[in-house]
Amino acid sequence: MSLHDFVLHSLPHSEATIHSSTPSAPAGIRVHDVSIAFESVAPVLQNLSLVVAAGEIVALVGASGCGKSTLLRAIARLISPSSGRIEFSDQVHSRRAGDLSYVFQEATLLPWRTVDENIGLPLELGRGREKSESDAAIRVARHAVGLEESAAGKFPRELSGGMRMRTSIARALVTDPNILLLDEPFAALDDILRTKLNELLLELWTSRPRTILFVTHNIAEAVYLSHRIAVLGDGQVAQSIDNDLAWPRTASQRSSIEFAALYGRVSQALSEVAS
Amino acid sequence: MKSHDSWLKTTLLTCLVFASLLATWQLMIIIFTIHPIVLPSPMRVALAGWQERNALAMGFAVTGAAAVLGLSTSVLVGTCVAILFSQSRWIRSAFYPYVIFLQTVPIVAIAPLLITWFGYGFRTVVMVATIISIFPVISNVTAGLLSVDENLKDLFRLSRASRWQTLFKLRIPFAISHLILGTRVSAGLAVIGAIIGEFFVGNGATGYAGLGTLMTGWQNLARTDALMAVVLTSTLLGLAMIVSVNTVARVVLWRWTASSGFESE
Repeated sequence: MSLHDFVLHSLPHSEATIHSSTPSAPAGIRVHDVSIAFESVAPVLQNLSLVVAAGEIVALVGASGCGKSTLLRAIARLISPSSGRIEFSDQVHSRRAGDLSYVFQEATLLPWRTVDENIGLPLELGRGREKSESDAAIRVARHAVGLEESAAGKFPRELSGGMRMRTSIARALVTDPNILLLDEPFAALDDILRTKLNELLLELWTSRPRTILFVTHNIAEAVYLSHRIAVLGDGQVAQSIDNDLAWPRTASQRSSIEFAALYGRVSQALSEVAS
Repeated sequence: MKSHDSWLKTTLLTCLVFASLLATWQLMIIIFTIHPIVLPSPMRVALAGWQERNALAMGFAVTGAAAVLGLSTSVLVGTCVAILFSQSRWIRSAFYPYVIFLQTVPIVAIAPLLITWFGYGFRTVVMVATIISIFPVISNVTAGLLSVDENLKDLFRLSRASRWQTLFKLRIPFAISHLILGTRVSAGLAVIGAIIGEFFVGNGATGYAGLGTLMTGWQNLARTDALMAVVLTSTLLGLAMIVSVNTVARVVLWRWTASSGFESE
């Protein structure tokens, strides 16, 4: 894929470009020829290249242990690649912590902190913010994920699984990041909650487009939420499937023929990779 | 309300067992005509306890003070040591064997040594209580500091948290529940340590006899009834210590210990 494709033209918000200088514009991710090997194991990723355009939502699918999470962690700079480069189109990420947020499969909340204190954690760790400013950001993030005022002072143990996940997403949003990485964020939830939170993710993207890269095992989720689906196999992107479902996405699309066709293509690609 | 009922039942049951135990004890003495020096009757023990109530209360206070001071020192020093351990694998591997040594050394063997160094006094008793009770704090808190969830650590790394932020906002809060657990174990040990210390130190310079001093004294006088009363008093002291630790934990560390409710979405 050439650098030219780095800019996604088909987006509804076409002003999102690679050379944007305003820090609030989404940033693209460019993974170039990255290999990652852990000691005494065959390389997890091998010369993998992937470009995610600014404001694009890409779903990463693939068999368990194919390196999806490893790739995500490398992009988040939690691990460094053995070779290759990972770049961000506007370089904001390298300057400002919090410009890239990560949502884990588990809610990963601090049990001794209330919902609001959990959401505010990234602000607290990044110094130099006024308390009133932080409080406002926390309120906005909590509101965005649909958590009521009454949940603000609750501890994680008093919350349901769905509310915990919402808190976790709010914490990721509180720094207003340009890049959002999600590692099987809804895998631990039941189907009804999963559908609800899928809608939430779409709403969040519509109101403020961000570059989103998410790992999932659920093909329907991958199809419903993405602009593009990257199928990982043998440590590389085996197939990149463009998702031409119309925007905005609606629940009724889930039962459309296009949806079924795309679903079929992805599951076909997955079985090809596995064999 | 249901929990209140079951609490009542448990208490009643415990009291019933206690009462039948006392009855059996009394009965045995009557049936087998056991000499009071070997085994005094519950009545005699109660009477001795009442007669010696001032000495027992003073002993409770003196030994209690030593145990509380020893436990506090253990918690403070133990936590600091654990924090140090959590910071570097090298420090851990260099010093942990000595902590184990602290655990395995028979306290009765070093108590005379401590007296040689620090004299016959309250201070030495506190020291024995500390040495005997510090290990659970160190090992539990170290384990707590090191067992922080990997994802939580990643979360802090993503926010580019400093080493100090990670220590104070993640590791230490995470280890609090371990600290409570360790302190609860240590509370009982601190009482044992204080009593053992008093066995060796005696009245010391203060002239106030702790429970350990009372024990050796009454044993020498063959006052088995009073001896049993002091044993019961020490049990009460141990219990009081553990209840106090739980209460302090509930009040001060409510964020960690508050009971959970559940609400569905």
